[in-house]
Amino acid sequence: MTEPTELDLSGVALLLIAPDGSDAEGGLLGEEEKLIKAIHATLLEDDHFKALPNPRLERIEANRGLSLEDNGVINLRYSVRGAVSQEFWGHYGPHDRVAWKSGVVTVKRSLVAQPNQK
Amino acid sequence: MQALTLAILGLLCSSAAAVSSLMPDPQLTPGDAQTRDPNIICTPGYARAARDAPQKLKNQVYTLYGITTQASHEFEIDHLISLELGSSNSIRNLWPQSYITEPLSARVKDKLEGKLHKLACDGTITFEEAQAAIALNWVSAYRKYVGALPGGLETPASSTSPSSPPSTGASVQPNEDGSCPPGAPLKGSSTKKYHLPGGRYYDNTKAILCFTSEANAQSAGYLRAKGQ
Repeated sequence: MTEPTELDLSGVALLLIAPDGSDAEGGLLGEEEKLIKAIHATLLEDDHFKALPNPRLERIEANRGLSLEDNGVINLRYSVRGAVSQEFWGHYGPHDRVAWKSGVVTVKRSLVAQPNQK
Repeated sequence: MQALTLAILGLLCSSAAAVSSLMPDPQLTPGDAQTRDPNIICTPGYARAARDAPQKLKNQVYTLYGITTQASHEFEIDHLISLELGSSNSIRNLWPQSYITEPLSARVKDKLEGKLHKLACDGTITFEEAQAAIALNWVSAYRKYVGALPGGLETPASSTSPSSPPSTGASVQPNEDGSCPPGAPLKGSSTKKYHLPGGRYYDNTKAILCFTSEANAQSAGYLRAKGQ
């Protein structure tokens, strides 16, 4: 299991989708932010991701019509210098895994509550 | 134009779910792109290497559009701004498009996508222009960049103006219990009246058709019910 690492989300574009498909107000929920940081940390361990030139998280889409265990709940877009940006789909699952071809990132849910969780 | 309107209304009566897939709902699907860089998009193999959206997300798109059942291969989840135009997999770029509606089907839009890609890659137009045109109204874009619509159709007036809701894409079949999905909450009744959420008789009305807006309900011949 990959522990969430510090990831500065300020300046990252945020799109929150309410269950009815409309734009949701406010910011990320604590559980969403925790999952996003875990996805990012998992990607940092992936050899394909490491080979990208200067990937930078530029947009987050949180789809609240799905649960955090559903593939499709979180979409992360990283800009890559001189190349097409990379899209990843992250969700909680049985183990940490990056499926590079599909862009699906599965992270195992930590059972330990994070002290700074909202 | 009158003949076209009648034709569209006829389609509404025969297959509301199919008609709903002619045009995306601009609220749910305004379009979204990942890149506008021709150096990236015009590289051979770019579209083939693009990732696809997860099935659960696609299922949610069907739900938001009120499509609960479908025949085999009736719909695809289409990227409004297509892969060969630099699309993203954001839910804001996904909508269910029919393969079986005639003459405007997913295959017709595919032709437009290929044409726009070619025009943008040879520098005739920019990718910004191509993305904006297909996101705003793909049927109008087809007429502008490809030519006459199949079947001799004219562009429906209601779908040529960005400020007008797309009447052909704004009605869906109700749920089995007569309720309407969140994306099209107005209930159209068998008496050709429509009911707004919160209206006096809304909860007791069993919908035969659901609309996204009053304008779309009215364009389909429905009148506003009393007690709204």
